[in-house]
Amino acid sequence: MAHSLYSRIEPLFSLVEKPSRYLGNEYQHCTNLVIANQRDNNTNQDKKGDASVYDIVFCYPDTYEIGQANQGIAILAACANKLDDVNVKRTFLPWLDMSELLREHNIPLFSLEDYMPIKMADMIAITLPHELAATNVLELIDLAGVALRAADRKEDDPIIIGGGPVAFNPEPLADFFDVFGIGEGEDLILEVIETDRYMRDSGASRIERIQKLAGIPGIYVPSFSLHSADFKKHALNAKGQIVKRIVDDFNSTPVLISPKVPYAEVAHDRLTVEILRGCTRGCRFCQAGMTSRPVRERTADSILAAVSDGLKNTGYDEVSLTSLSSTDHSQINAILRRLQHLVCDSDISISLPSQRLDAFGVFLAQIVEGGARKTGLTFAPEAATQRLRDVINKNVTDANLLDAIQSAFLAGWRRCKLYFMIGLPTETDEDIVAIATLVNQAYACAKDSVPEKQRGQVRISVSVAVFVPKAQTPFQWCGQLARSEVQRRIALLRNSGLHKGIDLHWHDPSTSLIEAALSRGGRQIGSLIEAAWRLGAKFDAWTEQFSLAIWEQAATDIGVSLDALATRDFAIDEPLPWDHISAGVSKEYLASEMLCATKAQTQVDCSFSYCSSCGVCSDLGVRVRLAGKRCA
Amino acid sequence: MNDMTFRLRIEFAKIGRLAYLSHLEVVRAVERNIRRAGLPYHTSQGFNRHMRHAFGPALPVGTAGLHEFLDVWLKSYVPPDKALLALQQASSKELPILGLCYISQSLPSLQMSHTLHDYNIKLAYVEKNDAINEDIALETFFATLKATADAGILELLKKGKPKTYDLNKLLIGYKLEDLRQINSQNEEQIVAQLNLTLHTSEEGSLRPEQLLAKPLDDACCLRVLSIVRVGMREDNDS
Ligand code: SF4
Ligand code: SF4
Repeated sequence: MAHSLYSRIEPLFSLVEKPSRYLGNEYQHCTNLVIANQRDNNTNQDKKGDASVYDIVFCYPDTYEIGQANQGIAILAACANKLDDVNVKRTFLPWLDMSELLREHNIPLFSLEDYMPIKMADMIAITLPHELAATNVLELIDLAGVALRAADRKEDDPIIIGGGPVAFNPEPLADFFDVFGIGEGEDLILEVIETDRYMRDSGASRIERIQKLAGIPGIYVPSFSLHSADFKKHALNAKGQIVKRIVDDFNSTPVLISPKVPYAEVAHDRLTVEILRGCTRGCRFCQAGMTSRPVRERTADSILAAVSDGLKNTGYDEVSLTSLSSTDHSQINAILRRLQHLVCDSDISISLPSQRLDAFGVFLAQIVEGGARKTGLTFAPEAATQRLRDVINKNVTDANLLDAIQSAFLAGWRRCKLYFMIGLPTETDEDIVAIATLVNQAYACAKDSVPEKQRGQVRISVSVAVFVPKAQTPFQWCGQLARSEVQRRIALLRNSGLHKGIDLHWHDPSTSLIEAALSRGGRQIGSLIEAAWRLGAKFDAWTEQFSLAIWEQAATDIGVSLDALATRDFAIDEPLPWDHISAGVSKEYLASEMLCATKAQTQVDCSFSYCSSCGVCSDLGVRVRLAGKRCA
Repeated sequence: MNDMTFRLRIEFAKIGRLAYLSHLEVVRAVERNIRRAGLPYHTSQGFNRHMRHAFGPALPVGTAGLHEFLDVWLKSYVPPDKALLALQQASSKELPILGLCYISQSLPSLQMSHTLHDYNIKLAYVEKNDAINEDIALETFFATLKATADAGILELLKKGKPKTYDLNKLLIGYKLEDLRQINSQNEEQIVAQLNLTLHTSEEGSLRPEQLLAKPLDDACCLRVLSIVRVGMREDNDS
């Protein structure tokens, strides 16, 4: 029987930068997951460890500050916690100082709940948030003391399951996982745990357990190769694909109103209430917009109840109404008005992280506060000409942007950040120069909207990222712009007469290159990731840790070209590495959207108007569920 | 702040694993505890409103505290037993709320008044050490500590610059207790405990680790197992 590693870990606390990353023990109100009016006193705190208990460790492949703020892991952990005799634990990737010490002292990665080695668990569930976390996933598995490649794992090793946005093209990480869960995990994780616990208790072998899991809808076992008999053990649709899982009646799913309240300052240190799921605005570069369909809203009543209970249970001084596009909620004005009433005369602020600029009127400008007042508003026009915005289906206009800026600055805001992308399909130099023109107009508009004496406080900044083509989107066939061309276009933008009072930042094109090389890669990319990790790549999403030289060396070592991987165009009828995974949106729809893009034709948003037949509702037997009528 | 505010002094502890929290993390956690308890706390005005409170002297990361204090200003009176119950029900096990009372608005701040700090420090042998050194480690440790105290000054580097600490003002007393006899019976292998009283003021303060750095260096095979601030007192002499 293994013992807690705490006595060996505690002496390391004084040697690391932030011991609070490794303390666990966060405050948690005794109720856990609560649907409005439905209370449940089930927590895992009193569950006794014994052989019949099923241990699952949810892992996030980044530091505590980033991972603890992630809603996905918190929701799944809370769901799993509802099951009897399941021990739900968490771990995060230790920062470099701690991982070095753990290796030096021969201490395996441990869970924050009981400091037991995570290798002892029945299942390790790793969130896959974005491509740049790939090397961190390998680091996490290695620190746990489990064989990196699924094929090398032993009978006693835990089953490693991955899920999250990156699982929509799981192939680059396929060699390192026993199982992937595709889509929304609330129901799936319960079925996975129940099934695997049953198999474990019946004395099944590891491979038998994995085979059984394969039969659960939404589960993909990457060791079952595509054309083998084993592959047919999956729950497949008529096209032979593994289809994402989805929670149809999202409004009736519990809101996390008693999350663990961290001591360390985490990335989004506030109460988070997910007010809707899905976005059908249909931006053609956006993976989340395609994979999270259809739109499902919570009602204003359940949101208000959750905010009220959540603030009481946590003691947070800020609540964030999250989703892909919160201002699209059909009842957003009523929700904000009622919330304002709830928190008036207190130090509690409301934040709305994703603001559509066509929906940002005077009312929102006055209400939304939070940390945003200091840091400023963010809007994402993404492209600066109407033609290119039509290509990407970002259905906003220059006038929308200028109106939003005017409302915000009239209401007292003084800072605003504008996001653009370069390298979008069909982009020309004219589109680049137009960024400077549009931003200059926005700057002038902001200055005109504030009293003369305060004009010096006006700050407009521009953030430019390189377009990264993603699987399961209409632009999945398009290659990324070549590096030299990216540099030329950035230089062009810098010389396009941007007002000197405007700050211009651009996202490091080399990290975008790695994202692009990984996002549409096939199984051979696993060797690239492993080679990069073995050469020391980790925390690639942290600017100061990222090293292009390491990735280039890794690519040379295994004989691939990063540029070729990133810039590759796929033919529309060519098989794609993720064809066996379906997000519900049909490939035909994606192809027709690609065709519309080349003609700069826009597409409607079905949550505001009619169905454009993307395929998800009929294929998955779900529907758009709004709390009220959406008005454009 | 208007006269209709009530100044509530709250006593809490920082123990167990949470000894490794920083002062800022403790402040945030206690603020959240107060909000969860639903106390009618006073806030500053303006765009970014904040809870009005004032904490006692900060505890460093890794130092536990058994009797720590903060003052918080309330907009309305809540009976102390009710406030205490609400706070305790909403507190973490390792940041427990121990007691509270209303105090006069005219009392000086905790930082000004509670200047005497009592510490209990437990020492153990380092994991891998030379057994020959063990016999003389404690004696060496004590000799260096006594020599430093007798000298009345301590010279340390602070952010790379030499700084002199006046121990006649800062070090009020110390007592070392040899626990080697009962060493075999305690699980953590405590060799000795040191009780220390330090004085802090606006002019300067000293952390126990700073005082112990050289004695530990000289003793070679001793390490600090734990540092606990066991109390905070007013200095009635000053
Ligand atoms: S508005 Fe566009 S970019 Fe934003 S989530 Fe929706 S589809 Fe994606
Ligand atoms: S199938 Fe139609 S209604 Fe459903 S998400 Fe797609 S476009 Fe919208």
